[in-house]
Amino acid sequence: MDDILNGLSIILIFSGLIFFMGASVGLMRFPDFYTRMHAAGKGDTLSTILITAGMAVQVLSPFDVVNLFVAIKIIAIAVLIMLTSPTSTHLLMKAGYDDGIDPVTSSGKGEIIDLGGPFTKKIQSDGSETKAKKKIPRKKKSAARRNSV
Amino acid sequence: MVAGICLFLMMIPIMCRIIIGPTAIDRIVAVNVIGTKTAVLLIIIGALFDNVSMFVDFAIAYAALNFLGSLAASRYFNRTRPAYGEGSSMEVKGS
Repeated sequence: MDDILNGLSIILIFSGLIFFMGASVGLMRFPDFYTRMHAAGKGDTLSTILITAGMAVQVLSPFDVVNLFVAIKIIAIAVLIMLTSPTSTHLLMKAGYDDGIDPVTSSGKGEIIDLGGPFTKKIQSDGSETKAKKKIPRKKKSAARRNSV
Repeated sequence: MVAGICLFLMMIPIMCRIIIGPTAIDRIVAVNVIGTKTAVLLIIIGALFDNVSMFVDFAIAYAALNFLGSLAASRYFNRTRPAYGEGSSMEVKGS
């Protein structure tokens, strides 16, 4: 039984390490803020969950009540990180998007285009929507809004 | 344990990203990743010292504080657009 638990924990921890290596290489090598964010968010979350699950399995190996509670705490860490890490990734991505960081496209360095998503849609006073296809200079816009307020 | 050493070695490129990161939010992302990995590393250190029940509490606190820190930083960089109220991105659709 102990051998099975040990093998399971080793498999979980090393798959987590492989995912973290992916996250780390992606964070180092990708050309762009958004792609780096992609690598960091996914790889970090999944590798953390895998490594903590492996440690929880390993803690269980002399099985008694205290070790069971410690394992439950470790699983609680995994759940906490599973909830908070995508949230913080989303918020940081939104902050970068609002800051107007330019993505890298296939035709060189691109600019943020307002695609008319739910967060950037503007409705004029007569109720007609303008899907603004123009390239908005976001910093100027926010500065103008700040001045008007 | 080998896993802890591997984890520490893989933090080094992320540290490089903190140093050379072109934008500020890149650096915040890298700090967030390192903080999450430090919470995991605390559990591994606890297993090395045969004292996991103590280090697990540190790891929980570290993960929660790391989330709060990155959330505050993203709010700080997002403050040019008001989050709620007049001119907010949430309210444009209904008005």
